[in-house]
Amino acid sequence: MSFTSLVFIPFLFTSFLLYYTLKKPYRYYVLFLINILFLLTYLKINIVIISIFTIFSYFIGILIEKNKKNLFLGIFSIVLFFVILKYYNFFDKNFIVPIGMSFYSFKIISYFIDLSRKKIKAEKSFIYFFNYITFFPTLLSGPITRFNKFNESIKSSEFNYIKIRNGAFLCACGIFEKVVISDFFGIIVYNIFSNEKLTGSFTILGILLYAFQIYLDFDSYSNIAIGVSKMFGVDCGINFKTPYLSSNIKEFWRRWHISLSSWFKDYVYIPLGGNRKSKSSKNWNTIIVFVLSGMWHGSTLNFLIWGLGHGLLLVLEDSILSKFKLNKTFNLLFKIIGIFLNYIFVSVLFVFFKFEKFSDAFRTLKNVFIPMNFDYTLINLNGREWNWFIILICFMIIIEICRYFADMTSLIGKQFVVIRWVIYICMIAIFIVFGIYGLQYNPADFIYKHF
Amino acid sequence: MKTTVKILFKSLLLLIITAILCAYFSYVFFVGNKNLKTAFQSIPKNMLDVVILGSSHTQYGINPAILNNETNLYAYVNASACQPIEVSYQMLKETLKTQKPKVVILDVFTMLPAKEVCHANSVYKMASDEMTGMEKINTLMYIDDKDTAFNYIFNIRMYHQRWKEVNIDDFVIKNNKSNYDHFGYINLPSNDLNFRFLDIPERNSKYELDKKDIKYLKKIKELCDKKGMQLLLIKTPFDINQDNLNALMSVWDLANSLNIKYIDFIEKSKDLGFAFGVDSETWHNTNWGAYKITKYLSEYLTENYKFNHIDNREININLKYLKNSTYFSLLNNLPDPYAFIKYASEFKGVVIIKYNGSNKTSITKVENELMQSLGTNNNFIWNKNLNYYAIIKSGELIAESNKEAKAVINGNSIVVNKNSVIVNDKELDDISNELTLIVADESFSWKQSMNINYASKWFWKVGCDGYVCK
Repeated sequence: MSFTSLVFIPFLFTSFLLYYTLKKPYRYYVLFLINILFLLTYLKINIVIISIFTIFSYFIGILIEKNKKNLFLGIFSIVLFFVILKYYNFFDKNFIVPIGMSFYSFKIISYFIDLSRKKIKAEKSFIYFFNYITFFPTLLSGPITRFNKFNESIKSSEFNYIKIRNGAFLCACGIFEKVVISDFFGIIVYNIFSNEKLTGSFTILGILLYAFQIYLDFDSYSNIAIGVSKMFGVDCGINFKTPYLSSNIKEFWRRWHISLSSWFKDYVYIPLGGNRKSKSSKNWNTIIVFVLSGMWHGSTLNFLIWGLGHGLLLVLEDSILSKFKLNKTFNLLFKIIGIFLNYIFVSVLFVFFKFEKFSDAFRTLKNVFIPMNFDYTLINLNGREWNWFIILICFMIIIEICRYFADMTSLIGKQFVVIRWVIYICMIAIFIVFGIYGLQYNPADFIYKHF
Repeated sequence: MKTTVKILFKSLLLLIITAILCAYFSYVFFVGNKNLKTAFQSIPKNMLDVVILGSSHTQYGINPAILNNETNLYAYVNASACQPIEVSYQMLKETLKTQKPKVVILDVFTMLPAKEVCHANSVYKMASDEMTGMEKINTLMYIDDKDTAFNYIFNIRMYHQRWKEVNIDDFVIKNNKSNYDHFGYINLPSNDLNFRFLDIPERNSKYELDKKDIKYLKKIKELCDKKGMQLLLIKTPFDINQDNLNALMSVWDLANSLNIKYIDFIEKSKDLGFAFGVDSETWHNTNWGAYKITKYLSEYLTENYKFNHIDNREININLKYLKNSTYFSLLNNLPDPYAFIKYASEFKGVVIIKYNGSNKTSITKVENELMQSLGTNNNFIWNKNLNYYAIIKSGELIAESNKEAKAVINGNSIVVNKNSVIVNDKELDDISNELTLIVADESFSWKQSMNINYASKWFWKVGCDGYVCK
């Protein structure tokens, strides 16, 4: 069941009502059933695999608490399962990778490591543990919540109207962002890259826009997941914080897919030594983390290049920026220049993310240098669609700047009721008219579901 | 509790707003008839005497203008392409929302195996376009592919991408009635002058009808009985094969067992002079075929049912339009002078007769009566060698002369003499030196003519002169 499918809204509404109808601890049993029901909307093999993972990690968790030495057994088994299942389709194309496996594997590994570090206690209730692993809003593509945060927020959660309203609004914003903006950009990106004759300005637009599309796609997914989690009293934090307003790669990774970045930092980078040893050791650790991140996304050379590219850029940037100390005026100027440069670097690296084959990515980059006059009709747009595209770009830039300075959900939540309802109604109307849905549209097509 | 009610109330309010916006934008982006009332709903309430349901066979087969000409009754063909019986049932329910017909006619084509050619989701979509409310939803829910059904029900899903092409006019709700001047009839002009009777096979086995079709036929019958309406089954002529003939006979067996009257126009086609080619193509009847079918149906209805017909001015105006277009089409390219004069006398428009009698050798009694049926008292048998020129309007003689007839009808000046026919100072082309008949509507928006050169073989119809006979 995709978040943007029509059945999701009644599913969510019914689940929500059922959840809050009951008092604790019964509502956790309801949540258990809701999670199972959500899983059952996918292939039955998923519930089998996730149950095996959960039961195994539940017992291993108890063992790790007793004896830290079991950590290796736990992590090794999970990684082995993960690698076998994730890469099995490399040999058998008919094999479908289980949904959300990458994300719940991360959850389980963090749970094991936190247990071994005595940060948390092993969960004795299987129902609670199952709810943590399979919590339906975050099951498919995160954000990767840590056990202690999940456990604390769900156990202390009470019915809070404001939180629920803000959660529901964030969820609605996510759906809006996906269906109205991201998918519209997706069509343009597709029209550009599916026509090999388009080069120069078209390729540049395609590259820059794809970076925007993948951000909006994943950000929208995260907003829905975080919003729904909030409705159920779980605080997942934030997963994206205006990453394209970062002036350097380091800042970008503090703002992009925060739950994954912090997971790599806490469970790979720091255990490797982080920046505690020599400069070269720090650089190697950075590169290892990003190569691993790239390989986690997929088994192709392009993902490796993408990860390695980010790692090298970080190392390079670290060595250059450490030599500059700027005053305030220059700081702002360099920040603005940095934002543009950073966006371009990230966009270019996303070309390797977009294409499966290295030759396709290379050809795309080569096409940038073959001049061609821009004409929107060549990407199958009419004047009205082009204007709408410009409006969306401007809208997104304004919203991103606002999000940089404030939490938009809370900000709108504090407004006078009439203003809020005008915003709601406008969003619904824009969604109905400009949304990409209906015939030949697959609502399950979130880019990150493939990881 | 208070907060729960608040959440429920706000959710409900959002849902209502979304529904209103969806409904409005569905209207804005919809492609097709955007009037709030369908053609059928636009007919004044409870005025129809007969409603005809079924597939396109009835749309092409029964002409309400002819039926009205013959019986004065009001009929509407509330059919759609390949309309399955279960959809006819919904259509009947839709019909009953605004009308209380005395007789419901149902064509049984979609109970025959030939309906296989119809298997498409668009069949349900087309029918549902003429329905509202639950009947519309029920019709669309018959579609096997529920996703497609869903798209048809919430058609904003299909049409919303038209935002890139709509204009300001699309946003204005037009609370207009739809035009119903066609009364559900589709005119198919014949372009085939082949004249052969249908090859009708003999029944050679029993055919097992679809259980679903039987179920819905029974439901239609029950509904008709409940509402005091008479159900009449028909099958219009088409190129029927053995399987379909066997199935049709099984339908009539079923009709007998359910005590439902029926007319088998296939069986009657020879008696009606119904010819394959001229009157019908593979599936549908031409305008000439529809005329023959409707004529017979008109007689059947007046003989077998009692109607409490009430005249309605608005319906009459619309029927006049259909009559006008019907007769224009019936008279067009007609090779048969007998039929031409028959249609001209029925139409009661303007008729111009230009008869140069000098070369005529003989004229029969039947031909003389036909000429007189146009509205003249001239005896063409006695005066066969005399020139005769006449102008007739609505069956009433306006001017006649042996030299030159003149008249002004609705501001149109007409002059007819030995050598020419002049309308509004313009001489008409292609006029015979012997007999020319011209038929026009009262405003002269169209005219059809027939030239008869009685020196040639095809003067009056002998056998099937004018047609290609086998």
